[in-house]
Amino acid sequence: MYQLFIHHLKEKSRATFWQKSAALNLLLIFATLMFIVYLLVFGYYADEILLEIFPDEDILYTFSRMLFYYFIAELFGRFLLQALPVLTIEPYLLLPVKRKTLVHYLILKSVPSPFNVFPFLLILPFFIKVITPLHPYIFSFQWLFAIGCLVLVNNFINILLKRSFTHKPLPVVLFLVVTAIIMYLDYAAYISLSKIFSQVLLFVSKTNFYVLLFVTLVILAYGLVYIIMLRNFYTGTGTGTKLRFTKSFAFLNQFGVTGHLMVNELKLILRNKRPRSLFYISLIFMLYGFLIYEKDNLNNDFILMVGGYIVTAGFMMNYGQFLFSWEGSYYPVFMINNFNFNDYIKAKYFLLCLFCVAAYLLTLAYALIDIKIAFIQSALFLYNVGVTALLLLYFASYNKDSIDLSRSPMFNYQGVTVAQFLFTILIFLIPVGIYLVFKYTGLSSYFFFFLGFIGVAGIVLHNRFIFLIEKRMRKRKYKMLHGFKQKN
Amino acid sequence: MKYYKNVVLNVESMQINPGEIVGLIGNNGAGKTTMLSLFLDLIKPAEGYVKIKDKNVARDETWKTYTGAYLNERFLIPFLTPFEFLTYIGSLHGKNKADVESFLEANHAFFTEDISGKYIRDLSTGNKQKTGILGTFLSDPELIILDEPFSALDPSSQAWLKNKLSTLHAEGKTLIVSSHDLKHVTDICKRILLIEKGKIVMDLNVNAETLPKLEEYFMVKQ
Repeated sequence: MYQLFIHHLKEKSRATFWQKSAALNLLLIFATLMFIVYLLVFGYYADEILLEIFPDEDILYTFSRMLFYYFIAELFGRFLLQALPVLTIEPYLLLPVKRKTLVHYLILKSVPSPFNVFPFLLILPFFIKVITPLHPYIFSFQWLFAIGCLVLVNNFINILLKRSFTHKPLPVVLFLVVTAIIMYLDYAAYISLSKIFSQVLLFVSKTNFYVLLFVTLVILAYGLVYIIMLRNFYTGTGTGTKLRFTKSFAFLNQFGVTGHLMVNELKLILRNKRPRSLFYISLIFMLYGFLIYEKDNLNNDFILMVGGYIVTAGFMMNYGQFLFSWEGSYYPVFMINNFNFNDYIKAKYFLLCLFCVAAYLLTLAYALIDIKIAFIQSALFLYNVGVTALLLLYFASYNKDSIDLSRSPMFNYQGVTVAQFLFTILIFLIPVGIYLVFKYTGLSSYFFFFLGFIGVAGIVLHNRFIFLIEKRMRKRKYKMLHGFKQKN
Repeated sequence: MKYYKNVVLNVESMQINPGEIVGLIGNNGAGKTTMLSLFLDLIKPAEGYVKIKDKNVARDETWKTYTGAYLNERFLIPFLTPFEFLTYIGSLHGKNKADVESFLEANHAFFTEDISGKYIRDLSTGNKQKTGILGTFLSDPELIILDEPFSALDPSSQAWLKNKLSTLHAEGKTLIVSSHDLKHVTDICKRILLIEKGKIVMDLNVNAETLPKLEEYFMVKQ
């Protein structure tokens, strides 16, 4: 077991992640620190926020109640984002290491995960500011200990859920429905599970040694995971994946080589884990509109612009920034087979447009909030098709890192480079820049017309831009082929 | 042509004539794959050039219309089924689904696995290789380039492939095949290039003495 952890540490420390440029590492470290600070600050002011919403309740009681929903939300987040603890287990199967040891190791490996640290970042400031000054230490620490146990239980439940329902949309929907029902019952004061939860938590903290009940819960969850993992030790090897989407998109084939290339790329997205997860996450991005299109914001053009941009270009941006890298592992196919390179790039452009059209049509429903939104989203849609898509395509020709399609997109920086990161920001900053120019010249009312107009101009001229991109890519052919060949 | 820093491949000049069937042999790291990649314009020579039908492969792409090549797994699209992949390659050469189906029918002794039941990424190494090799024959190309096509094949498939390559040769196609199996290459090839440390050390016309000669050459190497 000890040896296994040593190997794990070596795997991490020798990962190509650390061999990325120092600048990128700094950027990532900075982003992580920002997130940590954000959580700490939120935790520190949690009491004031809660007092404002529930002025008559005991603050600790309210906080504990909120924890109930926090754990539900956390479980959902974990389900979507946290990876299953898998291990390159094959080399060990032949060695005299007991299967049981491997399973224990796999489960324990999931414990030192950022997901198990985040809750404490949120809770500790509250703990120090509110709980310890008012309550005896023994109570405070039993409370904290119980929460630690629940974090672990959540961690193990997530493993169970992920093992049973990966990539089936139904359980996610079911989960959301059940949560909604629980929230409604709570709100309408029929049965309040959050109150029960809070009472149990506080009772257990008050009474010495009852926290051991929570330890039992952890052990139970662990045991269950252990049994299931031990039983399914061999599944997932050799059986192969089920075929998906074999007949879909056939209508695109009538558009010749370009259409065929698009069909293949759609299959790439739907049949491989990383792009598929990205796709699902982007669907959630589309809900962003509910946050942005609030009454107070409807007169703020800047916010509306950002909202329309995220909602209509979300998936296109997320997927488009890695164009060509997605195909890195088989890029030679496109280099030796008989087709016009121009068609290849055109297929990419049309695909990005297709994403935009789909996102545009789906999110047009926001017009029900205010008809103005339809106008703004239409302008941004034209802009995205005519400008953003072409810029993405151009900058993507700098990509030369291959992407492993089978891995989860979360905390996965494979294929990310500083240049590419900056390009993505740059692409976003262009409409912001245009906005500022219009604002300070007093022409704000023409801003969205202008965006739409340059969008249309870009669409009309797309062939010229594609020709430029083609020329660039021909020049970079060997560099890309060489880069994609490197294993990382 | 020369390729890169610590020179991997250094060939003053060589020519392969239309209709020839050429075997490329040499130990690991000799430069076989590098040479084939240069033919296909996948890497850029530090000096010199490769011409097919008098046209520089790096400047003129017409070679793609009449060349079929399979070097390794990177020439397959992993998330397609073999059938989807072959239809796709076929479509690039103006073949429709029915053409591909009759092609598979004709070669079904080679690919016995269910052709559309699994993704390529879930196939065994041997079946992946078969898919790639079939892909090169599909467009009925004039020039065929294969890197170690026998390596992961079962004995029946090896025999089938040898037969197939000989037939293609008889039809007048040009074939370049690398291999570690001296017996196979001497059986089917009429000309053999032996590469060592990036240089062509032997250029032989195959006859009865070639196999013993090569065997002796590689024995001494130990």
